[in-house]
Amino acid sequence: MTGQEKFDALIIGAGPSGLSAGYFLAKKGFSVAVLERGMEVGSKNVFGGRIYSHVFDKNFQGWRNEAPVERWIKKEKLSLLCENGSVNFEFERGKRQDSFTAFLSPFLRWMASLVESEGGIVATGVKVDSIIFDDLFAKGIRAGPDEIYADYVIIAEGGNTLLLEKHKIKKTPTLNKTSLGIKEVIKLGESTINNRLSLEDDEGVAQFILGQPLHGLLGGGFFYTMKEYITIGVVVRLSEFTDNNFNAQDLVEDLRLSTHFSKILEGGTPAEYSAHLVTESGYEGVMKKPYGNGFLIVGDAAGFLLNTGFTIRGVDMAVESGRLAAEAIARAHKEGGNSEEQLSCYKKMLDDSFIMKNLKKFSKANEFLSNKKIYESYVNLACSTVSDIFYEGAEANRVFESFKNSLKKERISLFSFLKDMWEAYRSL
Amino acid sequence: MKILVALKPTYDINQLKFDSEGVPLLETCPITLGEADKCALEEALRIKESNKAIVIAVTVGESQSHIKGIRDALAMGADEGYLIKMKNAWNISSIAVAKAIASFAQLTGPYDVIFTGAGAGDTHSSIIGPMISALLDFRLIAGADQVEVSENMVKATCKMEDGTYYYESDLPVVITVTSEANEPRIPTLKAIIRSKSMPIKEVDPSVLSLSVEEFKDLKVLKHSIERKRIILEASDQKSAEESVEKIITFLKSEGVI
Amino acid sequence: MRTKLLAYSEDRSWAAQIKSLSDSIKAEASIFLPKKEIAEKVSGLYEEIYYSDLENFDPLAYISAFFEVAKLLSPEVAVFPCTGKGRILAGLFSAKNSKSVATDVYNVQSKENNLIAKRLVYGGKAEVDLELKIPATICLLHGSYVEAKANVESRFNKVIKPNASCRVIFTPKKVEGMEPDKAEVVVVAGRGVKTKNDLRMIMELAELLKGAWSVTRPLAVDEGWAESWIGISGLMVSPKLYIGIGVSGQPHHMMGARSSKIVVAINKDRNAPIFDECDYGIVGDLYVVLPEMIKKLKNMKQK
Ligand SMILES: Cc1cc2nc3c(=O)[nH]c(=O)nc-3n(C[C@H](O)[C@H](O)[C@H](O)COP(=O)(O)OP(=O)(O)OC[C@H]3O[C@@H](n4cnc5c(N)ncnc54)[C@H](O)[C@@H]3O)c2cc1C
Ligand SMILES: Cc1cc2nc3c(=O)[nH]c(=O)nc-3n(C[C@H](O)[C@H](O)[C@H](O)COP(=O)(O)OP(=O)(O)OC[C@H]3O[C@@H](n4cnc5c(N)ncnc54)[C@H](O)[C@@H]3O)c2cc1C
Repeated sequence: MTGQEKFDALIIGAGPSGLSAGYFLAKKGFSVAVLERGMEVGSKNVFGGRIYSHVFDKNFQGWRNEAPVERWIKKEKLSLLCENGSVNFEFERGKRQDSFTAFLSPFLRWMASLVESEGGIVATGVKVDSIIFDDLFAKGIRAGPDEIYADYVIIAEGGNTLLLEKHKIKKTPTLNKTSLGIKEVIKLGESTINNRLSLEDDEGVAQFILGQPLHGLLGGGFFYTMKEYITIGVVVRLSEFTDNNFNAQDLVEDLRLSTHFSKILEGGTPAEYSAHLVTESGYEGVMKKPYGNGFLIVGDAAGFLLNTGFTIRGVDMAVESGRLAAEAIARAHKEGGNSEEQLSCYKKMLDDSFIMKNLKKFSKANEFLSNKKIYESYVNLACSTVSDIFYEGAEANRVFESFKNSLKKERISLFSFLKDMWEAYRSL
Repeated sequence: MKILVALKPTYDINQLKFDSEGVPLLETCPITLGEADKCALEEALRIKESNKAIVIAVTVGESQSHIKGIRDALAMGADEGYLIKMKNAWNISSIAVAKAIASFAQLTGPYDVIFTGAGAGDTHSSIIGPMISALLDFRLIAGADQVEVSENMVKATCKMEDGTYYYESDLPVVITVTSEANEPRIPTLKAIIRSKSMPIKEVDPSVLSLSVEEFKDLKVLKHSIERKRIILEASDQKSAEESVEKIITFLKSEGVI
Repeated sequence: MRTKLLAYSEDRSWAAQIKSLSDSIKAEASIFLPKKEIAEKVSGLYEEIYYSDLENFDPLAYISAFFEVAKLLSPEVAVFPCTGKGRILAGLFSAKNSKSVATDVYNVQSKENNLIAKRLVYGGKAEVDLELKIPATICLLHGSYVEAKANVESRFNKVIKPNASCRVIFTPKKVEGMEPDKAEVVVVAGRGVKTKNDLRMIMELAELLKGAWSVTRPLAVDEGWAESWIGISGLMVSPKLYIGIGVSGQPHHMMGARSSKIVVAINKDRNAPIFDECDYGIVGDLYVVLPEMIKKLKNMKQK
């Protein structure tokens, strides 16, 4: 393969989607190169930390022994934090290991090693400047002085879709549906984490936060346990920063210093800080036609991303879409072509997969999550209701009574509350 | 002409952080080839292009960062890449590293020129090059900002604390290169793809007949100097005047002005 | 028996610092200097002073002369200054003895028959405790010992000049004003200083404080505004007062000024790392603060 200048497939971007596509193609015997602009695999990928296991269980044999998993999620928490207390919902899982936390860099390095073990190439420090189109067919890529050709080009450039926009495959997304994700990694030590959160061995916590530390902004916080570290961060609609005078970094700090977390994080050392834009998410943001003559689009670039309001989920969908793209190419290749029609099977596979099912299910989420009330009033509502229930005064309040009182305090009509709750039920 | 380039991946110390006990968080600190090392390699590659030379890159260590370092060297244009497989490379003493490289040079040589960076980004002790020269009885040019190597001679300029030195020396020679010497090339995609099919050859240190003293794990801790950290604001002319006034008073009472 | 120490130096200040170290571990110190004129300057500091008549810095010739002295004395500790030349010579010397060098060392103490010391690493951000088995070679950090006073009778010994290993042409650097490594006050300009002309202000302040001025590496190397700079790859200084103006305070730079008694910073960015390691700081535009400072100091002088 020395000096080879034509590949069966070229993949732009070594995130979870690109590496997955690379791995499955290489495994099927295609010659592939995954091209990554970062100096190292994983150096440009930010993420909060939780990955769902199902895609790996189905398609990556023996992965549980090899992948750099930090902890298996044992406890799920939803916390509503208000001025003088918090309401916490906790769900403790049995032994089923549905999801885990991981740092994306080592995780991607592991995926890259899979690609290489199947004979594929992962080239870092390579920024793809453009896709070569000839007769309306994608024929390869340009990077600096070099042109490299391929039968299939897979665009896995992530949510910042510069190439797709450059080639007018996709319109520039509007700002108002873009969110900013900010994350801090704090070193705390394995035993401290286990003691403070009542965990054993590699058990972990995934926690989502709404309320006070976010100052009523459209957004939520997340908290994950890694082996030795805690990942804590917020996801906030970008428009909130232009409308309000908030500094993004301060938000994470407020969360970190809130009564809820300050004890848990005491003595920890900040080890890493990062911020990342997340474009349109949910069904609305999905590309209607993530393929064309000679090319396929996978992962965040195609919009396979869920913003549930507290957290962002996309790795499992990225990996699955990469796998499906490889399947689609294998099929098209068998038919001896790379035309739009031949690649359209990709879309069908996507529709049948959990990706589109999930995205549809959550399709209303985006709308609901734009309702500012949930970020402030409902959190307070929950807090005051619950604190009334546990009121230790002489006369025990009846639950409904206290709920009605709280509604009054927050100036929410029972009608609008019920309406919003119905929306919530439909969308989440 | 045969050229050896000794490379070392180093921590990016600008990004190094410490935990509350003062232990450096090395596992989250990015590691790359030192800038001066890349300049050393670039110098070698320029000789190769103008004079026909074979360029061999070597590093001591076996971590992923070391492998990546040699991969990068191959992508930039080195003809062969070697990994001297020593465990715990971050803790090996400088003499052990120098001896490993020197014995490797004897085994795979003879070399006309051995290049290294003038100082690694993390420790910057600048002693490996001189050590190799002493071990092999090579001439030495240390801290070169400009290098010109011909068939049998090297001309170089080195900036030192007291001025600039111009050297002309015979071969074989060890040359340490500063990060001012040149602008190292960024490998092109084709070069990267080509380098992917080149093997990284592993060297078992036992063939180098080294007698290296076992190096203890050293305890590295944050170094802090007690400083007063009295910070004043000068957001406008008035506060600037006040702050300057205060600072001058402080400095007087410290007896330093 | 007292530990035998052999020092290398090219000037009196370093010679006196190393002598101080030697006294603190109760060693018996001798020194080698490249030529007679320099050797005479350290008279009274060391009993045995060795010199040769070496010309411009030729590392291999220098080290063979030093080696001749070492053969004569068999020192247990060899000490070099932590300068560009000192590091090179230490590397050459220790390798000939098949030993490691400890660079960037301070706080040396004797322990049983060996030495313990601290070493700065990661651009001075971290330190390591070292145990140095004798015979040891070290490069001493500038300013970690006060200069010893002359209090002995010196004997001068000449070492034969070794053969040159290469041809050398030397151009001494032009020093405008005082030399930073010898001054009690050092004013440093960083990239916050926008033009070469603005350096005038820095020089003026240095002059008012009877000190030297210098720059960070980017101003010397990228801009060419000065021939030397402060930092790990440049000059290491330890003045009574260091003033960094428009200097961010990256470790490679600060390493060169760590042992300053008082550190002052002027920077418009409150989050610049230099504010974490200064005694006094002003958060503000240097173009506002500096003229004010110069004005005030001038007024004081007139009074
Ligand atoms: C703050 C935050 C928290 C998140 N938390 C989670 C979580 O907990 N769980 C979860 O499942 N998901 C999470 N996500 C989402 C997840 O990170 C993404 O869905 C996933 O990384 C998408 O993978 P991808 O391969 O499509 O794109 P990316 O991971 O974005 O990878 C794209 C790659 O392409 C490279 N690239 C782009 N352009 C070029 C070019 N021109 N040339 C060469 N290379 C190029 C980039 O450098 C990058 O490496 C989070 C995202 C954010 C921002
Ligand atoms: C191996 C290696 C060795 C090195 N050795 C050295 C060395 O010996 N010496 C050295 O100096 N560097 C060295 N460096 C470089 C070092 O890492 C830094 O890049 C350098 O010190 C930064 O210089 P600076 O502070 O002038 O510039 P910057 O980091 O760019 O800082 C400029 C500062 O000026 C401030 N500023 C801007 N405008 C104004 C204004 N109007 N008023 C007030 N403040 C203002 C800014 O806020 C900023 O903090 C080395 C690097 C490497 C990799």
